[in-house]
Amino acid sequence: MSENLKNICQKIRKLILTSTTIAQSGHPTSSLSAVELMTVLFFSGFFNEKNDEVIFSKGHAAPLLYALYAVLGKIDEKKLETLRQFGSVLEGHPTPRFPYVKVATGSLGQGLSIGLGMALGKKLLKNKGRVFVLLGDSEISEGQVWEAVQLASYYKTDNLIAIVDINRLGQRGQTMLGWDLLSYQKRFESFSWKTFLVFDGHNVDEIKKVYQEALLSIEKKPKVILAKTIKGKGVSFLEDKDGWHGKALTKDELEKALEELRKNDDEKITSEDNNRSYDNQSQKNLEMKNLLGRLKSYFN
Amino acid sequence: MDKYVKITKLFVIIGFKMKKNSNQKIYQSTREGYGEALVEIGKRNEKVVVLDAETSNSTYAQNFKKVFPDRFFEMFIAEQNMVSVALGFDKMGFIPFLSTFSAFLTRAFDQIRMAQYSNANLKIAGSHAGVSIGADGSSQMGLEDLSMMRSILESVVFYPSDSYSTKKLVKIMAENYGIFYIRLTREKTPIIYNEGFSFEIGGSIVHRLDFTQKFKKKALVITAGITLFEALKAQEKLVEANIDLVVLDCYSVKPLDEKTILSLTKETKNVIVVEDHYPYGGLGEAVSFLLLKNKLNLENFSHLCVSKIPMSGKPEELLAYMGIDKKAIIDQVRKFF
Repeated sequence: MSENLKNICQKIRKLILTSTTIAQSGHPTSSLSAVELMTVLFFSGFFNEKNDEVIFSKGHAAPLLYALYAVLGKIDEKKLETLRQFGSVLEGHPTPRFPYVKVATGSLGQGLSIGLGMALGKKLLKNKGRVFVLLGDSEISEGQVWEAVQLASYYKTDNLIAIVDINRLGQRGQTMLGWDLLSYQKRFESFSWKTFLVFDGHNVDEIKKVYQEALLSIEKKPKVILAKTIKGKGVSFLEDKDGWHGKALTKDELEKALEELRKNDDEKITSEDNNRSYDNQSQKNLEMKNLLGRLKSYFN
Repeated sequence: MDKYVKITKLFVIIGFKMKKNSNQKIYQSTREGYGEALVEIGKRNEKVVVLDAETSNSTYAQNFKKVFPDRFFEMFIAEQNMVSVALGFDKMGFIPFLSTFSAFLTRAFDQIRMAQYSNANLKIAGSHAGVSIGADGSSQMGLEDLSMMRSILESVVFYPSDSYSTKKLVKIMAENYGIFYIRLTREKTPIIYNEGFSFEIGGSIVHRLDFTQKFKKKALVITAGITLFEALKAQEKLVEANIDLVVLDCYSVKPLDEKTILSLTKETKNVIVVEDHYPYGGLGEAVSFLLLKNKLNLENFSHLCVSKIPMSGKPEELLAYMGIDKKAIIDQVRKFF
């Protein structure tokens, strides 16, 4: 199960990197840091599409959002290649033009408030669904976030779950708190939120365990999952590096990155010794060949 | 059109005079009208929810709270959060009305701006608009709100003058999808409308005194809200001097009642826009752009508005200081002839 999740994560990484390189803009590194957090949410049965809501308050992680829906089979994977193009529903930051999004985000610090409104609305409707909000750590500087935080605990909106992608880096450098998870925890707890820590935001097993705890909690409190992550995770020359915010890879850099991701896959696969992984491997090689072939057509 | 105008004007005069002599309450602020209207629409539609930022005893949103406590949400003094929370309610299928002082809504402009990209259904009320709030002073006066709310691409902006029209417009807000703004006044104003008048998006009400239309000197005042009453007082005074001052209650600031404005402008050729708002982005600029677009041949155009930094004082002192009261209108008309 968790092998499968890891495979999905790798697949989503490739889609994020490829789609932003084709677009020649976007925020691949901010998307990469939240891959595991969102993949576990979507693919481990925590997110119920019928009743639950999800808001990407860090709207610049749009490439991740679109990749998730591609892997879910809701949109054609090839459509990701229209990211940020005129007329495409896959806009630079999410808008309801993309049919799986209810609200536009991208002006930071607003998603939690919208989620709070939805959570209060669900309670009024006696709907048992939950509202998940993905926040960046940088956007927590916005005063509006704390307006929402205090009001959510006042109304005891236990159906509101914030997920904070603490990748340490903002647009131009380190955030005020960096990876100081405990300070984030103190702040949220002082507003009467129930907090959960993920010390490795790229470990799918740890994330799963924490989501389970959070969703089983019967305390009448809003919940926040504070996850330490790495900006640009998965690609050595992007990981935790300044100067990569909002930058797409060049074609050559992308090839290098994809090669690296493939090597990681290979290592994993050689550690398993059954025929199915051999098939997986040849399948993956084929996929990669096709992708690189398509890429050529964009850049030649 | 003219026939209708005459009839409705007759209603105004008769209605006004009758009420003046009776014991009936004839003064009520538009914010009180807002509160009463919320209760009415709340009864009719259970999807209506009301949010207010710690001002519900001033905006009269508290009326709703008393009748529907489960559907009222106190947002405390956090306007930005209030706008986004309202958007969340909207996306769960509710019809959110949110209110605070118009001055304080301006700090939530980004949230309102973003809401338009979410195809939002928001009903925003800004009370205590203009210098006419008086004593509380400049920090409490909404003088940029019309500009801010007009700048939202598909917004509808209302600025009613009396409590009756406020109730009708709030009903329209509840029944139509989109971002709506209603500008409310602190001061009590006479109730001048009744069942004889109809209100709509892009509507207006014409007030005439010269039914014979024999006067040669004609001017038009386009206004809304509290200054409507200044214009009506000026009208009564000027008719004695054989000057026909047509007064247009332009309660639908956006969209404008273009047809009526253009036809009255053609008829009078002398236009004054009066508003309790800064010069930029309000009714004055909206009207002047309309006239320019239609290449209307004007003899005179004047914009009376708040063009000085305000201060505390009595409402009437401030209206006079800013040159948006009865006297200022009369003086301006006299300058035309």
